[in-house]
Amino acid sequence: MKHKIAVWCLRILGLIGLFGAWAYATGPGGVSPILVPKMSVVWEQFKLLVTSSHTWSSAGITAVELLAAFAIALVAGVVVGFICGRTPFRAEVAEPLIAWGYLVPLVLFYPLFILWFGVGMQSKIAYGALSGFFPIAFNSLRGFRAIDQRYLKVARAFGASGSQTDWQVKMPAALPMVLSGVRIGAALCMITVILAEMLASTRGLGYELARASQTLQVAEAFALILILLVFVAIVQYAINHFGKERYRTDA
Amino acid sequence: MTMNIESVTLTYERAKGDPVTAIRDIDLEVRRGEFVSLIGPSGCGKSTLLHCMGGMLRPSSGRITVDGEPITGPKPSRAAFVFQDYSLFPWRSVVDNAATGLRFAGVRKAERRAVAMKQLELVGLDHVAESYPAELSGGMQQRVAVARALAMDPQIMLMDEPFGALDEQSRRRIGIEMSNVLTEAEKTVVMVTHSLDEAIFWADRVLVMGKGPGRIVREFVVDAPRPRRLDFMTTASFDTLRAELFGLLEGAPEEVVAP
Ligand SMILES: Nc1ncnc2c1ncn2[C@@H]1O[C@H](COP(=O)(O)OP(=O)(O)O)[C@@H](O)[C@H]1O
Ligand SMILES: [Mg+2]
Repeated sequence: MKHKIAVWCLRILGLIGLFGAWAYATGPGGVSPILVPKMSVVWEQFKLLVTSSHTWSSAGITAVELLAAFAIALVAGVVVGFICGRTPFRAEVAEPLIAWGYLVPLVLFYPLFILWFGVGMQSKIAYGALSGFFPIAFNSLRGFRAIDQRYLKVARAFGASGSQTDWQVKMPAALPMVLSGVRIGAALCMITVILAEMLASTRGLGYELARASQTLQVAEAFALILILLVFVAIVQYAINHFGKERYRTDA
Repeated sequence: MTMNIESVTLTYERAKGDPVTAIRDIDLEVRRGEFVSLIGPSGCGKSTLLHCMGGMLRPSSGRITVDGEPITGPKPSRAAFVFQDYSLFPWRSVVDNAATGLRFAGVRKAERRAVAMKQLELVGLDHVAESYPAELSGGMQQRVAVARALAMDPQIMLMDEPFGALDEQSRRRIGIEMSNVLTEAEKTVVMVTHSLDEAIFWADRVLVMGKGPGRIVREFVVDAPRPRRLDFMTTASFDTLRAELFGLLEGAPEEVVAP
């Protein structure tokens, strides 16, 4: 308990330090408001933005892109991981390929996505789905490969059919690994979608941010960053609380 | 119910290295209601034989039948296993673990939970039915595994060093408890163990296996009614049997190891 209090105190202290530095820089520090706007100005902008329907429709577009990209990555990743994890041979073939896809900077392909899917939502969804796919597939593959043989022995001894073994034994046994992949995949989806909007698009929060900073609307850019941070925090919270394992895996 | 094992040999084919013949020419009959314990040096093929009896491994030659019907694969209503390493599913509650086999068999939820609860009562664990395996001690987990096997109402229970991973004290306590449960349930049991006390205390018959390749070298009949009380371990007949077994297993290895 004491420990927890100390942790939170230090966290809050860190935030106070950050905002203190900001207040100092824009006040006595004399940093130009073109580079760093005053906190109060940003706050005014923030209030303006959150009451504007345009901001909400932008956020809605970003959210839809993110959800669609994540859904595709999730289904494709788990299915591919499961199929490739079924035999050692397939796993041997697929694992380095998926690992490679995971490590390659996929942003290199983004111009092609624009070419294929246009600057609209489709290119963000496709690009986000692709980046989320690899960690989910990789971890799922690993999870399905690493299933404890004891569980499979019990399944066989107690008369499980093939599909019962898949759904009632392999799936839950691999779940912790799959979920860790899903968390990474969801985080990647979010980063990629926002980045993609900033690079080339016509709508969305990322687009608004890129537009604001390119037109030197620094206060608006700061306010948008604030909104994006809240957005990210919500998604992160959802990710971290998604399917919290009910059991310890070391049982 | 009678299980007949007729000149069963099992050879493991290995991807690397020569094939290993784990058991050779085993002949054995297990009768209804009988408790047979299987003891022998490690690596002599006890687990292999047990897995063959349960249809988990197919003998390379020879045959195993139950009431004349050959065993072709695992079938928990005929032979249910209790493995050494418990192997409960950590994602399922205790009662759902006990109901695992019934679920695979397509028994409806309410019904299978009722059956599982009854078995948990038998092994004294109904009070932790909704807990998860990770919250239980090793001894409790193994009792859940016993309940899981009992829930299938099998013709024969096959237990592979069921209490081998427990400390001496809980092993004896739980062992006696489970031995009584199984006797009361009139189960036919084959149990692998490496504890002399356990082998004698539980069983009607003790089979001693030898190595290289595994075969049955001696058979002892334990002539005392079951369930037995703890003080059976202090009787002269227990001592004599124990000394003889000890001599066979530890004292004169050349008797145990085939040429
Ligand atoms: N899957 C396997 N592949 C190859 N050899 C095996 C396998 N399982 C067991 N063996 C070998 O068969 C012999 C008997 O093993 P096992 O039945 O486990 O003995 P026990 O249970 O008496 O210790 C040992 O020599 C062991 O190395
Ligand atoms: Mg063994």
